Amino acid sequence: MKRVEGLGLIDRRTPLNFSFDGKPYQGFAGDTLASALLANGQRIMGRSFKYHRPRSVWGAWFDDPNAIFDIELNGFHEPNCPAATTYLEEGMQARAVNATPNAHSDIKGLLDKFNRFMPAGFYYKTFMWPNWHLFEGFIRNMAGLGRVENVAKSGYISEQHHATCDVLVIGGGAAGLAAARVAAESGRSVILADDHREFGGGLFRQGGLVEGQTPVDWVTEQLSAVTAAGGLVMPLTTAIGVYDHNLVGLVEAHAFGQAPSLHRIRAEQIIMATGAIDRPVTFANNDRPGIIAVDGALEFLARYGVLVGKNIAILSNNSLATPAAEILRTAGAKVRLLDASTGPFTAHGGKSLNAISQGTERIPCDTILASGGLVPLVHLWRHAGGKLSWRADIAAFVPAKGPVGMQAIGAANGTFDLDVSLSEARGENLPKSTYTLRPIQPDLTAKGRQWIDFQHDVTLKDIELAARENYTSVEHLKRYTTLGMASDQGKTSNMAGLAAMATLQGKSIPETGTTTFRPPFVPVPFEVYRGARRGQYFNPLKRLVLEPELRAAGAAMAEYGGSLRPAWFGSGPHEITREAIMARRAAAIFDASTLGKIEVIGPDAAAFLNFIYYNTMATLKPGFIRYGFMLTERGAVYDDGVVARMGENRFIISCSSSHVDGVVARLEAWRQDGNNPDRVFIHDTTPNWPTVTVTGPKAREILESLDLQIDLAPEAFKHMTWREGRFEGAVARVSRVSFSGDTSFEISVPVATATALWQAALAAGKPLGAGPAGVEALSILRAEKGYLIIGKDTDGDTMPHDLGFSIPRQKKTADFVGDRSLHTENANRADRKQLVGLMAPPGAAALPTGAHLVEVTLGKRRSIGYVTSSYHSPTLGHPIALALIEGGAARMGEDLTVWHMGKQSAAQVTSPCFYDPEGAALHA
Amino acid sequence: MRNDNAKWAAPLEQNRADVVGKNARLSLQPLSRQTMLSGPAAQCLALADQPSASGWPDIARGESYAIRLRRDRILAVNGPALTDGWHERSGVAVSDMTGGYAACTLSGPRALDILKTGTALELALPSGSAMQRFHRQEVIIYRWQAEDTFRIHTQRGQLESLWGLLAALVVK
Repeated sequence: MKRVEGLGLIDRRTPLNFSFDGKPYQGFAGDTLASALLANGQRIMGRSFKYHRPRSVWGAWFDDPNAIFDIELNGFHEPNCPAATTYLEEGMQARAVNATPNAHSDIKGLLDKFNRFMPAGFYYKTFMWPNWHLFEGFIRNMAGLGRVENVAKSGYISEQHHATCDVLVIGGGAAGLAAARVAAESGRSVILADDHREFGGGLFRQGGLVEGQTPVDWVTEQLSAVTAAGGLVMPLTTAIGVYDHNLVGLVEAHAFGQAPSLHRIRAEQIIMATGAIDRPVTFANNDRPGIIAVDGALEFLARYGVLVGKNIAILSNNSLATPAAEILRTAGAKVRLLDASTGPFTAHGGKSLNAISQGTERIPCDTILASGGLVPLVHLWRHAGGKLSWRADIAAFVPAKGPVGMQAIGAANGTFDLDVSLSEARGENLPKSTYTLRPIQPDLTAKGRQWIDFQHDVTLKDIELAARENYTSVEHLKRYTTLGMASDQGKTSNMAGLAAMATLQGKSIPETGTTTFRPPFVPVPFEVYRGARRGQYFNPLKRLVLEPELRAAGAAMAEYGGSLRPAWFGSGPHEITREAIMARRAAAIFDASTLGKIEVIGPDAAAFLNFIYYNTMATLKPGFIRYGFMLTERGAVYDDGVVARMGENRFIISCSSSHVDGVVARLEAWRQDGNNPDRVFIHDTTPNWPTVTVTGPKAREILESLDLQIDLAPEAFKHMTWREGRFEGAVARVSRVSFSGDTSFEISVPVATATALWQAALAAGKPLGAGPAGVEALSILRAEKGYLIIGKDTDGDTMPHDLGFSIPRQKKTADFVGDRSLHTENANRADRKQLVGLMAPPGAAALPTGAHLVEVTLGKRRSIGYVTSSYHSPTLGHPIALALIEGGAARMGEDLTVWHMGKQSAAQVTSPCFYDPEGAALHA
Repeated sequence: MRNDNAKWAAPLEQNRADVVGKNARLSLQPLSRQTMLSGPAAQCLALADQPSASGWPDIARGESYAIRLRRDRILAVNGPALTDGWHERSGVAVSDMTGGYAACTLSGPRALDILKTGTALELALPSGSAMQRFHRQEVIIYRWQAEDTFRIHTQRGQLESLWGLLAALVVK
């Protein structure tokens, strides 16, 4: 291996120092780590995943699966960097992953001696007993790639950007450049992206002139023409995926240590000019360091001026071998051409090659360049759902029926001749192709191990084993053998694997099938996907208008159903009990702003709600409020809440806090399906009306101090009615509904008035022993009363009659969502889980939430339900619980066994209502 | 049960200072009235006393204007006082949203690029609706008074996250 004077695109005036596995080296600006190491004679750059076999590079760009480094530079550490695509920078310290202490002398290389005991799937067969987890840590420590740091990298933030264009050309080789120029000069907005620093693709390695110009001059001219016509050229930018409606993810690399940028491009037309790569040849010992792809070796020579060997054997089955040999000879190498279709061949040597043999002929060489034909890079085509077709003349899959607005050209389309490719890109008549190929298939009888997947150590014998065990489907083969997994994602191994399975089954490759490629095309940091959505902004909570007041009052804020709400007020969770007692003895003041205030407006509003709700809403009179369930089409309870009728054509739904967005979406969906959308409208006014709830025996006294201009007398303002009053000149909607079981008033006011209302309520409550309370205390109060929380005290199968609400199911004649499902065999089962209360024996602790109620039959336990809510009730002085239990309503008074984490206790089934069952406090 | 006060920074004051960065400025935008109207477009505009409603990339002008949210919905900004509920004669549903939406103004030569970090907006791609998602957050975005001045409304409970995202991008 040596540098060749006068070749390459590197800047030889700018030497760069770096180290690999602790040893110092020098390269040049424009080198990749891989090219710089090769230029220094360092061939071994890594170890394989399973057997820790020594590995050098196979390819010169993203088609190299072998050289993967952990790199440090200026205190920044990045794991799993492909050496062939990482540009060299001054001071880089690189280490091979998966090697101890280094790639050259890896002590784990001993594992290779035991390879016969570790075929594909041996993990699954060997470590079954007594428990996989006993072995897992050891195996994970042995295997794996780079080490991820536990500390987030400061300042490592990906920028994200959205853009559109008429034409996005992916790939800046000859075809891509020509197509971009044509599109740009026709007046269309063009983006041309290529993952190298220099555009040109495979032009440099092919040698010779391009339309009478050197490749560098030709590329420069095309780029100038594209930009002069208004096109945007993006070097160092990789298309990682194509998504719905021509959305393409472009990842733009920056200097080492700086997070890549993500460009989300929506293109009218996508031109895929992604090129092609060499398919490896399957022969004995074909993973030895020094066996390199033909086009990889030519790339190292053309871009970096590195000649990969002095005595080279080219093992190829196609017509590109002869010009490749000429280029290498011109660079100073001795080259011997071998026909890969005449096998079997065997490579000889250990960490360095010394020969290749065919039969009895032994051919000395230090390097083997292999090519089983060019494989078009069709990954992006498949991301977009494009079909592939098999072309026997080039033994490759090429793009067939494509997604709308997507086109493949050049080598990506199976067009490997330069002149043909340029004509195709320009929409001209195509000259005849000169590319020829002799088909090859692996020799199943050959001695020695033949590698299919260099990165994951999948050999031909592993494919044979998978076939014997009937993992013949390509998708099963992949998962059983790990073929095509890890960062290579089948770029180099897919065709070799398909060819092996096809040969084993006596089928053709297209009959065997191909796997599905998925984004990203190359490995990218997770950071690329994260962008600005981090920390608080990843899934931001809704914030309350009163939050400053709540914090000032000592609230401990916590997340409840997507909102940041006060859990309790004071010095710690022990305050919850105090707040619950305060609520029962005097009054508690809650911020209930998150409760839904969804307006349903229009002449069809009443009929619409009657259809949406399980309960009859059409008969609800203005000024009144009704409790109701929304069901799914399966009849399961989706939400419970109250509906207030504001007038003939106007209702307000107060649904559960965490269901507001979901309920709005359901209402909109039903509104637009089966209803006249001009006669009913949905307005989510929840954030417009902050709500302060005052609940407890002294609630009325507090409200009287607020001067709401409403007659608050029990007979004038009854439970489940609402009144409109005024507070400090603003509208105040006051609803008499309760989630605590005591007399309660929910006061909703405009945002601008909310703070004054909160402060006035606290001031009025203080002399009466009332004060602020949080969500946790409210949870206790509602459980004492037997009020349920949907999703906590119900599951995805709970129907309203399981909760004791049977009348609409039996008597409601109008259609409603979920109606039909309430009359199925499943809905009528006697053993449906029903909501009940549970009482623990005197002196016992509160039952664990989630504990199972069990029946024991012939020594076997069977769960008949579980605890959904459980608290120590400060009001009652003993624990209470709610539970869903099979046939629960018929079990009143029954003693049951509670089972939790191996411990057993007892509980008695009761009514779920523990507090004020007659409702005297509620209606007071 | 956790106390997450430290995890979630307290909301900023309503009279918060502008955030100024290179070629961009972010400010909170108090509005005296916001009204949501749903119904036939012409009837909504007539009721809101507006000649037209702006979509994207229209430039709303003046202190009182209307923004089109969807085929049958507008947001009237600083429009006339209207009674909430169903307006029988015009067939329009009306709800006050003065406090329901919070708004901020992002201005400057870099403003559009900042918005494009989180949403696919193009001046060359018009839309009848000003509804967008910015970094997955539902917002209303339109231009106001000038080519490079954008008003962004969001549900009030999401103002802090919108402000935080924009402020970080403005000072970058």
